Amino acid sequence: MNETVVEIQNLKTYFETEKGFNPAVDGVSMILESGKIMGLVGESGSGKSMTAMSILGLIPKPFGQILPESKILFEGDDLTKLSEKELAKIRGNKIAMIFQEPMTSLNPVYTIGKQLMEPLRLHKNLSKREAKVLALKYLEQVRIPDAAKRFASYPHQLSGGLRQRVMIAMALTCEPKLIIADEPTTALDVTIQAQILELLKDIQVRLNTAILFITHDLGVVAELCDDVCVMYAGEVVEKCDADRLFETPMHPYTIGLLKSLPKIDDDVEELYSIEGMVPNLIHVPTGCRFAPRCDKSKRICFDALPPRILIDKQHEVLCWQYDEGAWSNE
Amino acid sequence: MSEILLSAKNLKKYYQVSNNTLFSSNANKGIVKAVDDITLDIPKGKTLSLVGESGCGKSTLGRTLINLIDPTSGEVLFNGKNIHAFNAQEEKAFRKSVSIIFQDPYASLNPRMKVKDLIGEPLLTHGMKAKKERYARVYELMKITGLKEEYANRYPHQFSGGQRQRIGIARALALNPSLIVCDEAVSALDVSIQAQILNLLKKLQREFNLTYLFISHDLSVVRYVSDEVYVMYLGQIVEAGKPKALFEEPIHPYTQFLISAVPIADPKKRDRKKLILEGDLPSAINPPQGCRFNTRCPYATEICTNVCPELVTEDDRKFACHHPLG
Repeated sequence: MNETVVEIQNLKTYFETEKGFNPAVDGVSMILESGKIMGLVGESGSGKSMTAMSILGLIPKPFGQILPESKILFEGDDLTKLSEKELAKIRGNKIAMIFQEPMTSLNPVYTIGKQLMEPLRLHKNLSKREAKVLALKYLEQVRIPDAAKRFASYPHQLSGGLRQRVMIAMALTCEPKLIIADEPTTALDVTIQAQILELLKDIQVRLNTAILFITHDLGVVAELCDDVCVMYAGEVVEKCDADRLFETPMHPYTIGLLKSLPKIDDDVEELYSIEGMVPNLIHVPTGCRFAPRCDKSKRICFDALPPRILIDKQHEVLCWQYDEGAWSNE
Repeated sequence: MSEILLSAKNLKKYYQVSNNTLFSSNANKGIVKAVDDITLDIPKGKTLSLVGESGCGKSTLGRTLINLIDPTSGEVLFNGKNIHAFNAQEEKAFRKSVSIIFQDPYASLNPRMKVKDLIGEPLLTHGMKAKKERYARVYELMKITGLKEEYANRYPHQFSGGQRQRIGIARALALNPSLIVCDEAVSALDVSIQAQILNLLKKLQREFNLTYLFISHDLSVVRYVSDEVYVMYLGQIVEAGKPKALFEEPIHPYTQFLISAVPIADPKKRDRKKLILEGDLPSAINPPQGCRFNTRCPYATEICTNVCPELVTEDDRKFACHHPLG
């Protein structure tokens, strides 16, 4: 059974800059369920990483702030309202994170064994011996060959793929309810990426955790995710299950994105390309943020914020096109 | 048969590495065979791609081919002439006719130069001293690459990644080259921008009859742009052919694994049979004996561990394998 693990409601994370407010995350809502992988896909600067950072309370202060109307519900608490101390108990314990670059997120001066034991000692109050037994178990679970030997290795002695496995093992140690994976395979070669994706899938089936998987690669979404949120300029523009998204995409941005992908299993004569570029969020366009690049846009798109339209229970899209009354009046 | 613009014969580039640590210098030397005995021909007006995982030597090969790196042995012919035997004048002409577009448009543009000077720099170096003439060419190049004229006085930091890559392309085009090396030219870009740049490169190729050496690790992009694809593994060519044939019926097991590992943006194909390669790329220092892929290859037999397979040509395919597929 899939239970709700985290519910994000109307999350707004704004950054204060010299030139004004930057609404990096602007009204994002989603539900993360156990046993499911939610893909969060978008281009750089679309706010996908900031959404993840907001869940863990890792927004750089004081420039970044989560607006008071935002809610991130987890086990009866609103994570946005918790103190630093309370959050520290959750991070790495009930909610764990896997970062893109394992070399910069592992500490180079400690052995991986010591780093793996750290969350266990901290959150579970285990003795060194108990922690070591568990840490070794997780190293084996992520299929690191010669786990006992690797336990005493330093990060620089491992390859990129192995380091990412260590990061995954570390995320698993406290049996989190939610794992946030922020572009965990982007820095890896394809053959290694395939290994890591397989591993994540396997772990997710076995442990029934919720996974929030952040990526810019639609191919990875199609391979791995159950549900998808497509982000553009701080907003979720389309949300549905993965099969739907690739079969019947509805938002013009999603449609354009899928058409602009080169295909490995087919010859394409000319790629479709979305003209223009991501807007500067400090001067957000009134109306739809995608309108200037959209080939379907009408006047209403530039004048007023698009409605969030529920096509049916599983498919949500932020676009004027599907508001029949308003669209045909134009 | 189309004309050959650039060809390499038994090209090798070896690097000596010593195992020096901070406090001792044990001369425990190894050799990295970054480019190991590569022979290839780049036909005029076409796109030849080099594809492989990081560390396979594709960038080193690309740079050796245009004489940015001196080879250990072997020769490179440009329009039939050995580029290492050029005199100063020929050398200069060669430099004009080849150029390179780099991966990271943030690192490859001087942050203190204006766009018009960045694009004009190669013109100035090659003797176009008159400002008026030079800037006229700069504006022409900006128009060709889709940059607005009013950007001319801006600095690189004022641009997005895609626009910076357009500046890089304008620079590369400045001297009317015949060959452009695109070293991971679209790898740092977002999908929607990547499509714009790929289409721009294709358009320019048609307009100016350009030849591309396209270096990339992204197989989908390679399939889209290439006329011919060379797959590299640890410094050697393991397979080459036309993209359709190569991607649909790979002959070398490594190519098969590489293609199979690429995620496909179609959930219906999620349950296709996927081949997953075990283990990591072996160290390039003292690589495996025999076929370099034998340590990860499921089809490897005794001969593979002893004898390095020759690159054989069959019709328009090339492969180096003792147990070819299909």
